[in-house]
Amino acid sequence: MLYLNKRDNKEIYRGFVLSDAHQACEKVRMIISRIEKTIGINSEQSFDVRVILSELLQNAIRHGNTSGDPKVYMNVRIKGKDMLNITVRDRGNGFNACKIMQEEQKRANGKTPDLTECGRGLQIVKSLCDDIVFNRRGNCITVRKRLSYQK
Amino acid sequence: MFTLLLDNQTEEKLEIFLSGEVDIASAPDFKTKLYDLIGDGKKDIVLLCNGLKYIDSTGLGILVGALKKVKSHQRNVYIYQLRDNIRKLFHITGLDMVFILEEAV
Repeated sequence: MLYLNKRDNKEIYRGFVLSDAHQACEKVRMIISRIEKTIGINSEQSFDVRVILSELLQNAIRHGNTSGDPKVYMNVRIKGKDMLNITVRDRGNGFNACKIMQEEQKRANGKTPDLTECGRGLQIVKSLCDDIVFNRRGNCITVRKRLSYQK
Repeated sequence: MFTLLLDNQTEEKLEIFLSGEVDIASAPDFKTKLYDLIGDGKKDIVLLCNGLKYIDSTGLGILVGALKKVKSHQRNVYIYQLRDNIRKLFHITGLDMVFILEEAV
């Protein structure tokens, strides 16, 4: 386990992930293992990060590969002492981030959500992270989450 | 991987143990096995989840599909013994308001 300082910028993973469910799951497990070895996060945060990575990859794989190139770019690094940065970029046409915010607001207002079987991934990511930024096109998401060291 | 086992059934309900991990890779198999157990959806479903370690939005969506199936027969899905981190996902998505969750002990 490393003790990072505020100037550190530790790369955990950078590269392409194939649009295959089994490979994506393996990649997520490998990234979690690297984060745990690097910073020693607790099991609750490990669960949250696994969910975030999985949801971002699923979203990119399902909706983002309209060009026929079945790959998603992912960059995971820890900036400073404890800020996890995840960037996922696909080659799709993007999506409407406003819709996600409306879902979130609807839930916050206490209205019963629709019984749709999909469309909850980014809503979960937004709740589990500290910051989420979409590019203008909507095909690149950067998520930041502050990690705490295992005690 | 996950394990889905029929624990008990009466004329009114099915009790099903769910344990392990439901991720994007195992979700299709989970859907098939769960829907097979539910059948025509004419019984209440009780999911015992104390061994469930991981589920994400794909798995939650499959549970919603199961709920819709039994709701069409005025039945319900009861979810018991969820771990706190997974219960949090139900809360985030508002699904704690559509499933009947056992209260945290």
